[in-house]
Amino acid sequence: MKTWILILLISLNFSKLVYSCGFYPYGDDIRFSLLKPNYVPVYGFSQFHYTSFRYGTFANSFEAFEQAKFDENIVSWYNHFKGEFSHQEIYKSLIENKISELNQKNAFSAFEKAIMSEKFKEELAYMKFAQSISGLNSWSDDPWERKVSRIVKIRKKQIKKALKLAKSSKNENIKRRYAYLALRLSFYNKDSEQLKKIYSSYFEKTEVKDAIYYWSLHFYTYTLGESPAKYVAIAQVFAHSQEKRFASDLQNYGDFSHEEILKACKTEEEKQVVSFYFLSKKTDKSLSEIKKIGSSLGENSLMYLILRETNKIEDWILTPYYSEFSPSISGESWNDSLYFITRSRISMDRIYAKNLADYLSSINFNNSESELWKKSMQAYLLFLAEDISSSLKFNSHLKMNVQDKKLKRFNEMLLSLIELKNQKNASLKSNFVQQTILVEAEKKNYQFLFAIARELEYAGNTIDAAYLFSHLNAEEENYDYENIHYPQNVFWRTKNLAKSTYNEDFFTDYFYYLDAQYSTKQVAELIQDVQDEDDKNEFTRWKKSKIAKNIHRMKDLLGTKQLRNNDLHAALKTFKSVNDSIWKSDAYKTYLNANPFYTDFYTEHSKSLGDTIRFTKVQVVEKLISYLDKIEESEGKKKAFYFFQVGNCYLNMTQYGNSWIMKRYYWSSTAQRHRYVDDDEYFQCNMAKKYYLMANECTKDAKISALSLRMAGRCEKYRLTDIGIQNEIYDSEYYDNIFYKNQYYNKLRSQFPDDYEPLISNCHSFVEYNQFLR
Amino acid sequence: MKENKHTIFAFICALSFSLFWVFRDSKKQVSRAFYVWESAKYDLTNSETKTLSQLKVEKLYVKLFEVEKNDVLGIHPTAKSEFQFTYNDELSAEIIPVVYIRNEVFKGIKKAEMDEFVSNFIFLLEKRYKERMDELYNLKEIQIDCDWTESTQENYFTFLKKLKSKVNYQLSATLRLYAYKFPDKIGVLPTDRAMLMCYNLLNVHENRHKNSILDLNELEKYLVGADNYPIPLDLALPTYQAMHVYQNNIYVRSLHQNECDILSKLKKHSKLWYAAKEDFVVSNLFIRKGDKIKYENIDHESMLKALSIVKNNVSFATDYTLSFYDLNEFDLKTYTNENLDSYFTH
Repeated sequence: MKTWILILLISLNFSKLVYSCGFYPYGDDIRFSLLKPNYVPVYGFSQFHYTSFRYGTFANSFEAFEQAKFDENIVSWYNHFKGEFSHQEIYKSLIENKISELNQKNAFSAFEKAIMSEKFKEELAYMKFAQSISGLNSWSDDPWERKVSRIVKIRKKQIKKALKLAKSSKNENIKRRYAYLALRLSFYNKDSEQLKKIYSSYFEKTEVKDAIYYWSLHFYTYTLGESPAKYVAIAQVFAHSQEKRFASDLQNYGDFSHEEILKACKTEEEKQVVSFYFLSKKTDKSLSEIKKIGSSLGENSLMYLILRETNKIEDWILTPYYSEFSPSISGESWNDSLYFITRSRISMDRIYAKNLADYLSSINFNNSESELWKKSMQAYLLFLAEDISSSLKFNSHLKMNVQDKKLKRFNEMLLSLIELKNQKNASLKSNFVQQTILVEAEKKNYQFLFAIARELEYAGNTIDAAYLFSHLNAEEENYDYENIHYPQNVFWRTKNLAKSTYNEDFFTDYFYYLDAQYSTKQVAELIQDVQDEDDKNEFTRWKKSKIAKNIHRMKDLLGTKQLRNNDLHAALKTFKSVNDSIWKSDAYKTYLNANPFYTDFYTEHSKSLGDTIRFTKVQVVEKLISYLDKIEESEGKKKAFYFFQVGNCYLNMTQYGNSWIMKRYYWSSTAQRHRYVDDDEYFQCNMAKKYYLMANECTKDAKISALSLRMAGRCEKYRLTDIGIQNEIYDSEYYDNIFYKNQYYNKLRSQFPDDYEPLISNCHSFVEYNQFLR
Repeated sequence: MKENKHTIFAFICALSFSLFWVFRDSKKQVSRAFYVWESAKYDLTNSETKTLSQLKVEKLYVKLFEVEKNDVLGIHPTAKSEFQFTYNDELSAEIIPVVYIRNEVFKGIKKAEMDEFVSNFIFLLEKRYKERMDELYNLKEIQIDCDWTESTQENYFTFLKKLKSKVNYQLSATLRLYAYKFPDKIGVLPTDRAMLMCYNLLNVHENRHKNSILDLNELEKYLVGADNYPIPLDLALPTYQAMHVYQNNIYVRSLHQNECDILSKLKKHSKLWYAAKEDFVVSNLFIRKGDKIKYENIDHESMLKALSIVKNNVSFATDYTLSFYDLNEFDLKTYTNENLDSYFTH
């Protein structure tokens, strides 16, 4: 063999995706989600949407100032200016523009022009002061606690100044805002006494529960000792302050249970807020609690909880249903019981989806946008519950022409899935489904394509399923910029956990999936369908494009599958139809470059004496068939020669041979079974052994008989080793004794005592004995 | 006669001396101790205080802070302990502050940097000790915990020597089993004492069928045939437990202390492996029926065996400390007070 392979791991790299060594998808990599949280108009909870991470990093695709009316600080200023300026105007000036740089020339909006006027002098002074000290709001002390930082002194000075301004300010809102600035500086100065004093003077007994109040409360919570009461306060901040929601939650060390914190609540309202806080982080079923507090929540918060619950359910049901991975934040059991456990969970989760859908029908949102989303989510939950007849009742709603593009997109995807599920023989004939697939394919929404592919596959339409699989994970730059933070590539497994490239049990590429999961007949039908000159509309052209482009690879796959079934004539016919360019590709040039009809006692993948010639798959099968034919026509030593050659070829087409690529698309020294039809043959060399034994039996030449037994013994060694591995025998004694258990070596010793030693102990004797075959 | 008297006197003296040593050898003085190793813990719970009192624990090794190094802050302290002793009639243990120093700190450290580090180290250690412990106790010993390697040995030992030259309290350091077994490769600690740490021997994920906290075979491998360590040794053994949760066959999170109180919801699958019998939530982790969990702890039998292995193979001084890692009421539920007491008198 021209290429020496010691430890080799290759793949015929049809896929452009490359994952690093040791990569295994989990968590949000495998989480299925059709309902993206950033589609739904829920504001201020981006870190707390359902995810397998502790916090989400969901980019909000809403225009920033679209959210302004949900930002408590903006609302506070809006109220301060008595609605004179819009939320968006205030937001833009405070958040996006630098107030300190504002002057008559660059003041554009009505708000900016007004704030420059004498009337709002106090407000502008405050805004400029707040901006000037913002750089002091960070930790920058000496960690060794030796030097009192210069910054501490600066902060102290500014605290004094802010308090003085608070005192002198006539406007109550501005007064409180100055006090808040002083309180925050005290926090960064680690001056909790000062912080408490300010809190008690300005905020503790206030009835104005605006952004400033909750911001102050947030810093105040840091001065409280660990107690349930502290978490009551944290929950208030979490529920009411979008700005401090994430920071407040970082303080949660989980020291107290929900019940303990509820006990510390003084009012019913506090209890509801604490429950909301816990519901926002719960990863298990929460419907009963949502029902309890739903009516007390604002619409934004309620929609958030419903969205989170729906995201959980789609993870529990669709992640395992489509990908055969367990839900992203739950686990899996031992493999033998995986299927049963996952299925029993799913059936319970489907009932739960129906319960949530029922709850949604009992509530109404005043916000028309939310109400529309609620109905779509109801339809989705019924789809998840597999109550297709009920979800069909939402058809007219899902087909409505809505302005919200994200809702329209979600509705179209859902309609397509419902339509497919409702068909007796799932197909892609519907024009609506075709158009939806094309739109989503353009956006590289692989999860949706995958869902459609799986529905088709499960319904028995493996041809269309294969077409859609071929479009998955196809590009390197595969970002859907609307959903940049979502896992775009899909990973999936098979029900029998067959393995794929790199010995992994998951798939990212259609070719390896078809290799592992599709039958020979299914691949043949697929090839036939690709080549059918049917009505090729835009969708059909797109659908077939990937596989059509790789049709010769598919034919190679079909021939390989036929060879695994030892259907040599069919394999030869198929291989002959493969374009020569495939045999000239790098993979075949590198790994089918040895003589498959030559081997010796030990050579597996190192260079052998016989490597003076290289074959294509066509030539290997052709010659194998011709040798098999010659066996029929020959007698005695000649017959033994052909038996021996055929044995060599079959041996070389196994894990241990120089032409393993005849039957596999990857090889590694630690390759494991992949649940292919010929795993036994590939790892146990049964065919080779059969032909070596036939060589042994058909000749009276003692040297040839002895050599044949020696080679049959080599095959037997592989079989016994494989049996040990299959039965998970870890006792080294088993492997140490394989040699002594080898019936062919024992037979060699008893029948050919003079040949035993040279054949067993002298590796060079092969050349000498091999000559007897000539 | 006079000569005889001298002879008899000398004989009596010699006999008394040898009897004394026989007595001392058979009755070594074991100081009873625990580690307290939590950054966020403020104080001992009532049950922990009671355990310490009932067991007559004499020493508590309390982590004060850790030291690490990065490009922005250089060598700096982190994970400062919030632990603060409040006066308690029942408790009279000596507090020994412990500082964990990451090995990286000693990689490529320059002389000036070393001097500044030693100075900062002493300042912070004494400051925080005074703020949190000194109202009750005087500082008599400090302990340094570091997994030093051959490449950092020189710098680490220089640090220890400089530290020792600048303080007037006893200096001890932790000693991993590898360092105990191979002092020729990794050096002998230049400290007054060394605490032999007999736990955390294996990588939990690479050794799925072994107890990574303390595998007795591994322990024996390190101890058998090792030479006597040149400085007096103390001994630390583990009382902690851990549950490692695997989802999709991937390690997700470890559960500790009270989080491990879920055994009734698990079905035993093999010696160390369990499966969840039902859906439940623990510390915001949703565990569902069928999840795999590796549960590691050291039961009473194993602890006794570990003590025998150590005592049969390691030579301790006449007065030494036996410390358990670490003190928290949840992990100690594995043992009765009688169990714990028997370890100290083993």
